[in-house]
Parts: sequence; structure tokens; C-alpha cells
Amino acid sequence: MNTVIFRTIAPALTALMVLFSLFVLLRGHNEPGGGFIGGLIAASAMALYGISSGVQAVRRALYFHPITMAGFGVLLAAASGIPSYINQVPFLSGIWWKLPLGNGQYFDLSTPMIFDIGVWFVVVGAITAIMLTLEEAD
Amino acid sequence: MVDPTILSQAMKTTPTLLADWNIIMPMLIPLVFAAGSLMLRGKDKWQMPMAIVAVLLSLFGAANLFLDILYLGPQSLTLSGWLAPYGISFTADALSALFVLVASLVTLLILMYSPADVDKAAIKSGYYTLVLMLLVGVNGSFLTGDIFNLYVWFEVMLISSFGLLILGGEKIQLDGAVKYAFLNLLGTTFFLIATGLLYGITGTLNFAHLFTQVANSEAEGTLAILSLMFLFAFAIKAAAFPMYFWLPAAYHTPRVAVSAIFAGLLTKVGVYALIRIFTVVFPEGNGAAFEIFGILGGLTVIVGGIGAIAQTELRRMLAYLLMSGVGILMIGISIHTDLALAATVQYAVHSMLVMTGLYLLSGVIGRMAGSFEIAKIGGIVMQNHYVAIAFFGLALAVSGLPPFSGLWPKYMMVQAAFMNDNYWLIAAILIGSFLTIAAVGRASIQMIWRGGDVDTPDGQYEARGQRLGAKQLRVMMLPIAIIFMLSFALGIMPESLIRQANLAAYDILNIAPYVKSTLGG
Amino acid sequence: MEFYLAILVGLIFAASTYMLLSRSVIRLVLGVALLGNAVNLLIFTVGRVTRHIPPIIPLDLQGELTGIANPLPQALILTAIVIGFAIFSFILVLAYRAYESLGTDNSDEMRVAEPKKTELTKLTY
Repeated sequence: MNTVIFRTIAPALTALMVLFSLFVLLRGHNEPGGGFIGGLIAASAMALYGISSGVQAVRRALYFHPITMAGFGVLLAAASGIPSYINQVPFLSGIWWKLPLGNGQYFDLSTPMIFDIGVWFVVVGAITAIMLTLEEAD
Repeated sequence: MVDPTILSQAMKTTPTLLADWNIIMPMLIPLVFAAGSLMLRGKDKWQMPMAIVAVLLSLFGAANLFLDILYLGPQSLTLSGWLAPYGISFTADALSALFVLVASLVTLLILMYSPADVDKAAIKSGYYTLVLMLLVGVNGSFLTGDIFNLYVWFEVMLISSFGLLILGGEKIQLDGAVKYAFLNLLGTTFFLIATGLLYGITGTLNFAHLFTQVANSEAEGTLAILSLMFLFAFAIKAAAFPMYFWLPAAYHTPRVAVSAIFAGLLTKVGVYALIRIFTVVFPEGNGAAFEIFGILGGLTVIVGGIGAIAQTELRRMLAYLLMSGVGILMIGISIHTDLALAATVQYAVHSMLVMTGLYLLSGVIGRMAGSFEIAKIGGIVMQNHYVAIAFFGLALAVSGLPPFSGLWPKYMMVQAAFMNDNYWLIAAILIGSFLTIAAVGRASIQMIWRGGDVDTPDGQYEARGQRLGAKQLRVMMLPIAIIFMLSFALGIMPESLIRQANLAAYDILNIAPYVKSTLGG
Repeated sequence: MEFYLAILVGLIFAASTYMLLSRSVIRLVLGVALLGNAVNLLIFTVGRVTRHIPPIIPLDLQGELTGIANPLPQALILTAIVIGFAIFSFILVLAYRAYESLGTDNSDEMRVAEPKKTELTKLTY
């Protein structure tokens, strides 16, 4: 498995996959995609990096502990329900804000998107944590 | 844009009162704090205070919800702004609110006990996070108004309980966890199968909507089979007679605080699910379900009592006593009159408190004696009077003797069975109580009053365990003392709990307000 | 279509039941995984297999949209798959750790947590 070609190409591929996972995450609002699938792609990127460069390298690259990322994701997903409290709608209702970008365009920020980003963090964190633990045990 | 009149058929267009949020608070608060404690997993000193704050807040939320329901009847909130059958509903009646309140209280007591029992390594592995997640699962199960959501909460609960069970990773824990994991997984999978088939027949997952759909359904035979599948699935969770083997195989393996939280919460969720499914989905019992409930319940009571007598390990004995209590709850569901259901609710509250107390006390006794084998424990009364008194009191409570809280629900249950001419159920309850008295009586004679080991003369016994310091003993005994007082208070002044239990029974039998609060109209 | 799927679901259930009756823990793990998949397929089948259009509502649509596929069973299955994945990875590790520390994968020989054969406690004290 640990050939020169693989070790050389894996970091670049990892970066590409993480980028793709962010694309899938943001695309997911209106089209197929979303936090769960995006998170899976990012987690498999981490797996690839782990196979090529070892567990320690993944931990360094992630900077935060994967479990911490999962916790942050749960917090973010739960927090995406809080604006509903202010707007007097039921928990987790979709709320949209239009943020002006200055050039006449608007950026649609919404609570479903925040929730999805939370899901992304949970999936990346949890699956990476499981994977790293299993890889370390061997 | 979509036409608002069409929109208002599927989405909630009126503003939601902030008070409506009360219903999700007991679930949401521990969830947020669990996420927070997961993020702060390196900071061991913060874990315990965070967990205490979370459980205090959710206790406050539960009390709020309880008062709401007391004055306004069943409450409901359908998430994400959809209307009821489309969105996921949380619906609570007096039964759910009472259970949530007691579950939060029990968790608080166990957190108070935890510093004495949980070491640094366990905190590092996330003990407090897992306890909070367990509370999320339990409160979510009590509050949800959607059958698939109930399955999800069951799994939340199950996964956190797996984590708690193997915390420490000793041999005995792994052995217990294998049995616990597979049998419980089988139970939840059966629940999922039955839920899928129910959805296929009725086309809905919302409890309130199921109530109307099942009543109009013509697939009576399939529904009768489904009711038995639900019965089987939840009987595994509740540890009823032929499906109870996982409970005594696993509950004595983890640390004591974990055993106590399992004993207080997990089986009661199974019982709650049984009550909920067999009131809103199968209100008539469809088929022979209620008769089977009676048979299983009676056998559970008796087998639990016999098992308790046969055990030589203190915590295994308590596991069988717990199971025997579940049998009494199932008998209550089987009789299904308002008196029996009030007794069921009251007994569930009593059992949650008292079994938690007994497990916590077994931790104190085990520490003092250095063993959980009843034959090797002795002279507790010589070492500490308070421990002896607490065991005596809780033993009276669990066997249903006055002046403690076990008496009244058993009395009401026997009365309800008598009024329904179910004489063999009366016999089962009384035989079970007698066996329980024999088991705890023998344990208390051997552990508390006996001077030392078998065959050693009195006064020559030296406890193998540690001498507990005054401060440590205070931490361990405080939650037990609170449970002791509560059980005593509910024993001599049962009216307040009986009133709540009657309300809960009324809500169980009169499902219309529950349905109305979810579906509106 | 439902007919064949129903038969398939039955076959998978039969296979997983056979696996679950085994004494070997690793077969139990595989049996549970298979059971989870059987349930997912079952939910998929009871949700009615139809060849309708995907359940995506066009922006300009007013009124009811008829003849769309039912999206709910898929949401349920996705949830069940995620939960099943988490549980599968847990019991896999559990089975491995149990095999490592107990030295057996035969559930009959896992008796550490069971009561040992001891002298019964005497009634005298």
C-alpha cells in the first residue's frame, strides 16, 4: 500500500476531497448533497491521509481532536434552532437572512445551512475518531 | 411565492408561544451541555459542574412542563414549523411529564453520588457526557409524539448505555456488555421492524395520527400481529419474563453509579413505551395483547422473586428485584382500569427512586465490605448505623411494606385486580412480594446484622474493605438519604403522588386531549 | 416488484436469524448487520415501490403535486442506516475487545459475569 506514488499523491488528493466535500455540503441545500454526505467524503479523505501518512499526521492536520469537532457539530446543530426562539416559530424552523454583498447581490444565510454544517462536523469528527482509534489499535 | 392559504394547510402560520418550548427543554438542555462537555473533554474539573448545571436546568424545565400540563392538559410542539402529521411532534401528557421529572431527579441524585465512585480515567473517557446523553435519550423517549422518533431516542439511550457499561473495559464488563448489547439490539431492531410495517399499513408515524388511522384501518389481523411485535420488542427493553436474561447478566458489571442510573431509568423507558403504544396505537389491546401482558407480568413478578432468592451476589439480587418490579408494572397495564394504571404510574415512580437508592447503597456496602458476595459481607451495622438503617428502610420500600412508598401502589394494584376478578394476578403479586421480602430479609440478616463471615463468632470480623472517610461517606450517603426521605414521605403521605398518578391514568385512558393537542382542531 | 422484494427481505431475515442462532460472537455481529439491512429493505418495500417522479416541488407550482414518490421511507432508512453504522462499529470493536481479553469468541464460554459455583450461603449466622 505504501508506495511512493501513493504517498506523493495522497496529500494532494486529500486536499481535493476536502474541497469537494465542502462543495457537496454547500450544494446540498437545493440539490443532492448535504452535510452527511459531505462529512462522509471528508472523513474518507482523512482515512486516505491516515493510510498514507499515519495516524499522528492526521491528528496534526486536524488540529482539533475529532471528538471535539463532533461535539462542536452537535452544538452548532442545536444552536441552529435558537433563532426560532427569537422569531417565535417552533424549534428548528427554517429562517432566512439576506446578507448584502455590496455589489447588489445577496448571500442567503439560513438556519438549515447552519444545521447542515453542524451535521458535517459531527460526521467528520465521529467517523474520523472511530477510524483513528481502530487504526491505532492495530 | 406559494399561496398562503395552501401553505397554512401544511405549515404553522400562527406565532409559537415561548411557553410551547417547555416541552423540548428537558431534552434540549442536556443535549447542548453534552455537546459542550464533549468539546471540553480535556478539562476534567469542568465536567462534573457542567453536568450538575445541565441536570438542574433540565429538572427546572421538567418542573415547568409538569406545571404547564397540570393546568393546561397535554402539550405539543411540532418541530420545524410543519403541522402535525407532517413534522416531528413532541407531545407530553401528565404521564410523560411525571416520568421526565422523576428521571431528571434520579440523574441529579446519581451525579451527586458520582464523585465518590467515578475515577479520573472514567471522566476522561466521557462518563459525564454519556450520562447526559443517556438523560437526553430517556427524556426524548418520554416526550416524543412520533413513533420513529421514539426509535431514534431509544438508540441514543442504547448507545450511551453501551458506553457507560464498558467504561473501564474490565473482563467482566466486556462479558456483560456482549450479552447486553446483542439482546438489546435485537429488541430495538424488532421495534424498527414493527414500526416499518405499521407505517406500511397506516401511512403515518405520528402517535396522534396513528390513533385515528388505526381506528379506521381494516387490517385487523396484521395489526394484532404488530401489537405482539411491539410487545415483544418493549418486553425485551423492560426485561419482562422470557426476555429478561440480559439484565441480570449485565447490571452488576459496571461501576455502581452506572448500575444505579440503568436501574432507575432504562427499564422504565421500556414500560413507558409499552404504555404509550398500547394506549394511542392499540387502545383496545388488539388481539390478545392485554391477556399476554397479564401472563408475562405475573410470571415476571414470580420469576424475579425466585431469582432474587437464588442469588449470592448483592447486585445480581437487586437486578432480579428490579425485574420483579417491572412485572408489577406490566400487570397494571394488563388490567387497564384507571385504578390499575394509577397504581402502575405510582409504582414506576417508586421503583425508579428506590431501585436507584438500593444500587447506590450496594456501592457503599460493597466498599465497606470489599466484596459484593453476600456471604462475605458482614457486620455493616457495627461499622455504620446509618448504612444499616438506609438498607433496612429501602428493603421495606422495595418489598412494599409500610411506612414506605411501595405499599400504596401494590395495595391499589391488588384492589384493581380484585375488582377485575383477576385472582391469579393477585396471587402473583403477593407471592412476588413474599419472595422479595424473603430475599431482602435474608440479605439484611446476613450482611447487616451478622457479626462477620459465615462461622465466625460475632465481634471478630474485620471488614476487608476500606474504611470510608467521613467526607466520602457523606457524599455517598446524601443521595441515598434523599431517596430514603422521599420514599418515606410518599409512604406516609401518598395523596400528592396518588393525585398525580390519577391524572396520568386519566390521560392514558382518555386519549382525546392528547390527540387534540398534537393534531389541533 | 414488491413481491420479489418481499421474498428477498424474507431470505435476508432467514439468513440473519441463522447467523444470530450461532454461538460465535463474530457471526452474531454479522447477523445483526444483516438484520439491520433486512429491516431497511423492509421499510423501503412497505413504503410502496413506485416509478413516480422524484419528490422535488418546482418553484412555480401552485396547489397539490400528485404522483410523486414517497420521500419518507428513504428518510427513515437513511436514519436507520446511520444508527446501524454506529452500532455496527461499536459491536465490532466490542466483539474484538471481548475476544482479546476473554480469549474466546464462543458465547457459551463467556461466563466471567455469571455467578461462579460457590458454596451456598448458610442460613445460620
